[in-house]
Amino acid sequence: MTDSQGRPSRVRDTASAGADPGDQVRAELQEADERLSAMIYRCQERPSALDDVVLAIDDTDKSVEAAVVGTFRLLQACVYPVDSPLRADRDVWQAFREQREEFADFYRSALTALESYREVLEAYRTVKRTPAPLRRGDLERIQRDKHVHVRERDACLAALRDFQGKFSAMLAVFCPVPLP
Amino acid sequence: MASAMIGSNLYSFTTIYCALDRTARHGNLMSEHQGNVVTFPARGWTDGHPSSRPEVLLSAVGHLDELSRRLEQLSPHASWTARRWMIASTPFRMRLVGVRSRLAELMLYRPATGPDDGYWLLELEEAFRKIQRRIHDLDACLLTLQYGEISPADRSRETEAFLARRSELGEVATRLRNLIIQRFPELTSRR
Repeated sequence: MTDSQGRPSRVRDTASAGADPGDQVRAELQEADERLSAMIYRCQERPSALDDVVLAIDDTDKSVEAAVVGTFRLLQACVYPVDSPLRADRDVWQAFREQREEFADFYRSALTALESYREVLEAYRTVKRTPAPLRRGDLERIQRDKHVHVRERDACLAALRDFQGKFSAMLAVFCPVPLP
Repeated sequence: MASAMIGSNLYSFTTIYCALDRTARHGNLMSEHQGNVVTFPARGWTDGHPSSRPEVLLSAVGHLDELSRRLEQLSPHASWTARRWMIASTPFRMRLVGVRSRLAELMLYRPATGPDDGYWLLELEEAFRKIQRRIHDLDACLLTLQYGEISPADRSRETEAFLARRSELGEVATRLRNLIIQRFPELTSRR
């Protein structure tokens, strides 16, 4: 999504082609929001779907972490800098800058939750794969393990939902102000 | 003591005179004194800007409408977590940046259209002060709900306080909006 300077390549390319760079940044932000929303929606619909997108670290199209990091980088590269095309609208640019710390906090929480859940998930799968004959009392242990796994998944999903919710709420500032 | 009603407020004539005098000194409303006769400026903006600055008024009204709309969209509940408050209030807080700018512009380019506008300007200033106070109150309330480590009971009370303050802010925003529209009805047909 980004070039060597962390700047989204499409923004750079279309800006040089004469299109309004501000519109391009807005389009990139909307696209990132839609992508994240779709991912979160699928995971809310079927929480086990989170497992695949959490483990797909190297698959940038599928990885939820890549989507979260990409969204954060997009803001860092195209919205916050003083040469951002969004600065043409001083109110919008200032509003984004005021949200910077808060948004970074949501970002950190999402990444931490992802990291934590990935470790729990990998450990859970390792334990499940370990071949051992079932014995009396194992069901309680399995149940406990599953509960820990599901609790961690719920926490991860909640952190991702908050991150996406915060990002989506920030984009509401692009809605035009109606005239009387 | 002699007094007059401005909007729903009762002012003594001394207060009105002082306010007009302050308006005159800071906003050049009364630009010239000839003996005991005060010459009002021609129709226009008090800072000398040409009278065709409807975009400032239009923009201020638009932002006030949008702010009210964002406030109405919030349906808070006492069970909301701090994070939930942060997310839900984001559009409102981001709109506040524009509202503050537009209000500052409005007061900087105070529109004065003639000798009868002294009272209107007083009302405008009063509404401006009120909206600033209400925004500050609501901001303080939101800060507590977003960052304060408070008990569920206190959170419930703060949520109630937020609803009350939101209602107050909505009222003064509508008041300010109506003041502008009533004085400049042509604005609504300028789009």
